[in-house]
Amino acid sequence: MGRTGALTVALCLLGFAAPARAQPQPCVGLLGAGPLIAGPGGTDFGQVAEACPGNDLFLRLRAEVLVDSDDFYGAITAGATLRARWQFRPLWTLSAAFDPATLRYPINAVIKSTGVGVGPATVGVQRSFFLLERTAVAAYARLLLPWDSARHNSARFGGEVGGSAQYWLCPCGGLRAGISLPATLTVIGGGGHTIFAPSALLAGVYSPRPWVAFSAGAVGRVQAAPNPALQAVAARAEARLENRCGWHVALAGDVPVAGDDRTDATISIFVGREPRRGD
Amino acid sequence: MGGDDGRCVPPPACPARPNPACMPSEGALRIGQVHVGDWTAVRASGPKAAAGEGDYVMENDLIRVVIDAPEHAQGLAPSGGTIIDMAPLGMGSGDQLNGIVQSTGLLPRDVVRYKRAETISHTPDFVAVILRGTLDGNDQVQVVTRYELRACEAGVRVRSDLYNGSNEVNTYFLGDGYFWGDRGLMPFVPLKGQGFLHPELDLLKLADSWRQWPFMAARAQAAPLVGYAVVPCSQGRDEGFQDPTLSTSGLALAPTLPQDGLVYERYIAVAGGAGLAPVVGEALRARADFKHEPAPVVVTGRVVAGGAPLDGRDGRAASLLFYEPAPGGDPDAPAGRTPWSEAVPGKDGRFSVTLPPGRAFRAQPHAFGRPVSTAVAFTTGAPTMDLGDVSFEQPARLLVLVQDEAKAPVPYAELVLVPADPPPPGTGPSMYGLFGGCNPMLGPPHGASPACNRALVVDGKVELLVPAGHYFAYASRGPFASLGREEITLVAGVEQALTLVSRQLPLLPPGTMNGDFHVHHAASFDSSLPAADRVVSFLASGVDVLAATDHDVVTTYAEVLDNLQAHDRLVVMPGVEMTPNVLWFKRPDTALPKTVGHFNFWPLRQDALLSRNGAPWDELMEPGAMMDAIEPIWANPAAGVRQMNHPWSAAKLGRDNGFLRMLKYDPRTPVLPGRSFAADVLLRSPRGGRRNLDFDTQEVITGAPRRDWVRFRTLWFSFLSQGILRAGVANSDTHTFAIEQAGYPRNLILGQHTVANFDPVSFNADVRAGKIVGTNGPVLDAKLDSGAGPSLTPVAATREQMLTVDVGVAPWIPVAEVRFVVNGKLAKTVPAPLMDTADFAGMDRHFQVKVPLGELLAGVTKDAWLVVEAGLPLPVAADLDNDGVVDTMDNNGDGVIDNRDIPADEDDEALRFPDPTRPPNGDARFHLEAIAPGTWTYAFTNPFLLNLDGGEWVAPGL
Repeated sequence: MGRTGALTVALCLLGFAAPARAQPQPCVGLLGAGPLIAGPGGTDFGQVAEACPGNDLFLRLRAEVLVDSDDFYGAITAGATLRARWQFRPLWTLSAAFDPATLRYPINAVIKSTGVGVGPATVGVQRSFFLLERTAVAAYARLLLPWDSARHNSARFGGEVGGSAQYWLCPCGGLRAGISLPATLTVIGGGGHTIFAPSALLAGVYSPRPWVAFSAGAVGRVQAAPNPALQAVAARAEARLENRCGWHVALAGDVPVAGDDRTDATISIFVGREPRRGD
Repeated sequence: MGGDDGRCVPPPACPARPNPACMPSEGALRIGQVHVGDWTAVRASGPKAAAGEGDYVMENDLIRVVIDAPEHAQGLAPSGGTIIDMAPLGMGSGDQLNGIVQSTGLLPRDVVRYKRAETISHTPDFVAVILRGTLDGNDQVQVVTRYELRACEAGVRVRSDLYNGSNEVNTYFLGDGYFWGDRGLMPFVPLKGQGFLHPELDLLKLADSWRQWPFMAARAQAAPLVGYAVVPCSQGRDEGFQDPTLSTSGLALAPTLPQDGLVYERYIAVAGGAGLAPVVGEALRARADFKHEPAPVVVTGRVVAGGAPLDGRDGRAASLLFYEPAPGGDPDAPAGRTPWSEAVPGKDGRFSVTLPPGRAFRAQPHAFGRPVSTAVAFTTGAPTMDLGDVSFEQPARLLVLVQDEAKAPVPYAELVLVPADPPPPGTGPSMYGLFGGCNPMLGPPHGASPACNRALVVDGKVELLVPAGHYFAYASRGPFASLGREEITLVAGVEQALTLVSRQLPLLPPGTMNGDFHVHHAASFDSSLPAADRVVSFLASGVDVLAATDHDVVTTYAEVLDNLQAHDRLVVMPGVEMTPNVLWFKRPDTALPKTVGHFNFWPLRQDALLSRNGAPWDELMEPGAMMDAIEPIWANPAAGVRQMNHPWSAAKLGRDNGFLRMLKYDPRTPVLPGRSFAADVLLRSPRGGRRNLDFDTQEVITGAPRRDWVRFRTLWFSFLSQGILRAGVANSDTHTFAIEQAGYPRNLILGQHTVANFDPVSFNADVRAGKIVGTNGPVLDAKLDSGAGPSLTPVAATREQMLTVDVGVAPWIPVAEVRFVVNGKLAKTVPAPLMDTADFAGMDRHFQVKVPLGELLAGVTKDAWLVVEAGLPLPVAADLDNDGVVDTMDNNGDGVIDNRDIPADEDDEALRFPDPTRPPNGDARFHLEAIAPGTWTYAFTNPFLLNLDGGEWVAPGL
């Protein structure tokens, strides 16, 4: 038995595995959904995409909380993101995301402000591949569109490529991994500022029942250029419920545990519909 | 705004103006760096002018602007790059700015630290200075500011670009901070219910005082009479808060995303002349040009009294406040009206004021701090309009001669007017609602003479306009002279002459000089008092020697002493009060950073070509580091004195004024390693040189408030008992002529010192050695049989020795008792028959006490220290917060001091431990209260260190 098989057995012995089901097929059930866009920031820009193709529509409500009392600084962000995917070919998916409202409340000691912004938006395309029967991988590309009313004097463009993979360990569990390579160009005052800030995700997913899945893992975010720095190593957890009609709700959290990012946590709630993968 | 690539040049601020204010003359527009020997090296006139070598100077036909070089940190700014001088050109005008600092918030980390500067000379169109920097606490947030001066503009165009290169959203309040310092320029905004009056500023409840305005302005209280205005260009209204201490004006608050930027453009104008009208006119014309608003209207008129033109006397005798009427039944209600400007008539009674067009206004005449006669209603219509004559009630004219007992005019004295009948509370005059407490108000309380209720007398005479009324008129020459006093009734329009006599009294022992070691004038950020009035006030008070200790700048008063030819009357030791304002010091029990209090140093070398005249930048350092930093600029290291000022004064706007209070020093806990945070800080040497405890003197009395000296005294006693021997001193900390009286209190330096043969080395050696009596009136001459007087040098003593104390005092200063304090405990009190002050014009009075040391040392078995005090009984107060110093009096009068005596605002020290108020006419303290309000008679000797058991003197311990 290989290393994977041993891990599968271990998970099942620990009770994480559901009763034996049919041979797992890539992108079927909740194991094929995700990862959720659970990190800080709006839209889906810079967040590892799903490995599986699919059709879905969801609303993400997120809250980011940063409290650094030693520095008399804090910021609360509450935002909504609408995101849709369209599987226009069996292995091709288009995506679009848009932030209809983001409320920001940064506190600089006793100086505070509140602002509500609309935008930005992204469009993306994804090509999935199936390797053997346990693995799905995808390559994707996205564009960040510079529609953001919260910016005073700048326009932010972005381009992102990335890859995502999903590996089924057993009928009730698997592993997800992905990398996102986003670059932004902010045009301001006649000049431009580029930032290249890759991130990577590694998570395990467990679906004890067809209608529920849990995921836990870690995300690493770095700023590669300019001024290379580790932004965050964050713990990531997700819980997702889905009914027979494909409506789902999900809860996700992203908590930085190391790095420069002072965000305490990003909490997201998702509501949406996703026709059964593989149906 | 796109981040600083080091080469980008921000565009100019504000649109072009169609109507230049003058015909530009060739070569008038110029720019340079201050350099010895050329035009840049001549500072603008005015005590606050601060240009130093390397600073950037821009000048046109109308004004001069100085931006300090990046390496010249000033006040709140961690670097230069701020406007430090801005003055109209021409005689009689000058600079009144402390500085205009760019910031994005209220914490030190939010202030812009500029690192590089470059100039652009594009004459004859414009000259500019570009400053590049970052926030002091975040170098990912870049700021580039362009200061531009054009020909024929009485203001500087300023554009600041901020780029948020961090990864975090933040609230950046990109704007300017204007540090007025309480007693300086009076800020003004044309808002309903405001004008000169602003909501109380609480930095922790900033939203309560946050406002938006079309322009802000400020005007001086004293010469040089100038005003400043700030007109927003990048938005319709600036916003921020206004306070006589500090104003801010900047962009609207909004979250700034990462990689986003802000642009703030404004026009900062300056205009000479009394009142707000000149600079408000410039602001309204600028708004019309920049915002395409309708051209403002020039309104003229004349003020008359008794049918003749009335000289406004810089606003003292006449001014007009222009406002849009309040809605409702009372158009003059301060809470509802919208002030727009203030006009001050000239000598011919003529005034001119610029106002927005097409609006209803009222012009309210003011005189001597009160509204007088009925407001004039009008509507601004044509480009110019004349209101005709505006009638005022005639003031009385008072001519006072002050003579000595030989009927010779005295060279210097002070005239004080006090209402003969106690005025009803809450009815006193004010500066349009600001700065109440003076009655009568002969002039702005923080300004030059006449100010508040007093005037300086030079060469034996003074002439002034006074509101009609019934007064006591006093002539005072300090606590060592008798008073002249007459009761007078002044009638409107009538001139009255008065002669008052004040005689010098032989109170001071020969060889004793009296001095004040804590003195400010307008060079300090929190003073407006011209140097000449500062010097004359000390001459009038009979002070022999002073340490010039302006905040953060070395001053000398040399020019005034030369002009007055007063070098034979007054010695000035140039010094500085190092006054940190940047919050940085961490105390473990609080997250809020602190400042470390104030420290004086003298005598110093002044170098007027250097930033701060050579004083070190004193922020972000502990007291020991300040002491090390001052070393290079001692005038003579052997004469140097380091002084801890007002050690328990309360903080103001979060800035700690008292070092020991900030440290939470408990006088009951010894200064030993590990015993307390305060002890550890006091004992440490922050830079390897002097320890924070290594000052030479500490203030035991500072100014009048008795709540201060009662507590400072406790701290000093605590140190003495531990063998931390520091000379106790008594200083006025005066910032004004009229509010804090020069030389109340002061020090009597014992020895063989005279003004004529002043030797700073031996004099200051005696200061450091504690050969001092501190006093606000009584003169204590205390000696042991051996002839030894108070000193920090131990003296051999026996219990059989007698201590002889002679208390001498002017006949108008009450003294109730003599106290003997041994090792911090009251050992004996002797009543003194010096409470009758009815013969205020008489000779000095004396009372002698002889006490055997054995009687004072009952129960003392080892060495001891002894301090003699005289004055009124100590105010009875209790330490309800158990910090080792008293804090509360019996405010409800029930005979017990308990929690019921704590006011609703428990931090309001003026309610918790109130100052004495005006006593009834005829009370023994009446004259003292009139001359030096709030003063509670108190004098103390420095200690006698009594070596009773041979060997070395050993401190008794706590």
